[in-house]
Amino acid sequence: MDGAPWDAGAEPRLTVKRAQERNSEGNKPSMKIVIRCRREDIEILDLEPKHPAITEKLRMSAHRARHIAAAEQVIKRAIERKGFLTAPDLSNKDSVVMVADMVVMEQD
Amino acid sequence: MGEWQDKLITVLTADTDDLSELAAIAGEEPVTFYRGANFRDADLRGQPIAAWDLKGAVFSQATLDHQTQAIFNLRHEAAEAREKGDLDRYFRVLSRLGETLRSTSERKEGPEGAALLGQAVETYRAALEVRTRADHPVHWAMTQNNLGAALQAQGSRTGGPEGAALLGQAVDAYRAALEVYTRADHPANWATTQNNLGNALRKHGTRSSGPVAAALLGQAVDACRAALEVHTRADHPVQWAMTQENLAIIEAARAQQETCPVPAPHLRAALAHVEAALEVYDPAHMQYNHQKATALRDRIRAALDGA
Repeated sequence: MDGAPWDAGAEPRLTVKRAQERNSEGNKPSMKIVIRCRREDIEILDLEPKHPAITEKLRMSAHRARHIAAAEQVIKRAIERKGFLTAPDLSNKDSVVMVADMVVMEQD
Repeated sequence: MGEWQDKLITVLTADTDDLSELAAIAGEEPVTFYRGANFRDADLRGQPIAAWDLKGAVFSQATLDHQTQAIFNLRHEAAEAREKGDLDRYFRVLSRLGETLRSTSERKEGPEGAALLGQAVETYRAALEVRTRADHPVHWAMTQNNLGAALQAQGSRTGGPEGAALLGQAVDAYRAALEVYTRADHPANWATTQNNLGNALRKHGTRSSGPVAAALLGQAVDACRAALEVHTRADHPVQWAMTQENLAIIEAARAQQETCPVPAPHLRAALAHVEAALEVYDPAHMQYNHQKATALRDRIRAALDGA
């Protein structure tokens, strides 16, 4: 992810217009949103810890780059294990990564 | 925090700089953990990365050991030659890669050395698919001989039935090489491969027991004697002495077999072989060989005294 995080509630990035009050079965409409992208569009690199203690510890390390590389791998493995990949291999740039998968419903 | 966030912080703040240990801290196998990793600016000297699967990893501005760099370059060159369909170059690069992996493994112990040997074996097997016996018999035989050496080293480092099986495969590879390296057409290669075969049979024999072991050790003697037909003392004194030393080791092993009813004749033969080797091993110029053979002679003498 590039850039600063944002408040999704206060600054929504996507608005959907409801076309009808009820669907054909008489239920309130819902929407399934799945966002996918190619692995090559996601670069997990240049990890910059914000916690002062971690930053200081890394600054003292003669091999900061090794720790950063290993930490980036921890993130990639977590993505793989969460099932966000259609192919079980994040090292393959052609893999498809599922960034979001949710069902949106109007609350009563 | 979640489990992976905890791991992340632990990896970032770990006292170790060793990539294997950082992978272990993350609860992962280092061999596969760094696939696709970004090693930009990292000093990777002394890290066993040549033995790992690093598919998709990035090494821009990274510092690597000379041998690791050589292995990476050869892998890259092999992939390039294969992609272009340049089979001559692909075979040559695979041969160099196999040899580089094997020679690097000799200086590495534990899992790293074993992994490099495993890769050397895979590399030679890939080379055998490029140069078949029918189309390129000499290249094929050379690769079988190299494959035998890699399997023998792998088998020697591996215990139990798995190690014995690898030694058996080494024997098969040397025998395959000898189908092309005949004494009539390739006497030097024939003799060298016979000597290699003798070594592999001896190691396989000492890992076996009963009649199987006795048969393997007997075949080892035959192979070494065959090598001596070409590696004569007059023409090839050092190879002759090394094969004599091998024969001494084999005869000593035969004497120790539980199926050997009378060990003394084998021990006397072993003593004669090692003394022959010592006639060539000059203590001033071949100190290592001389010391090793002297220690072997002393052990054989002690065994003879107790026989």
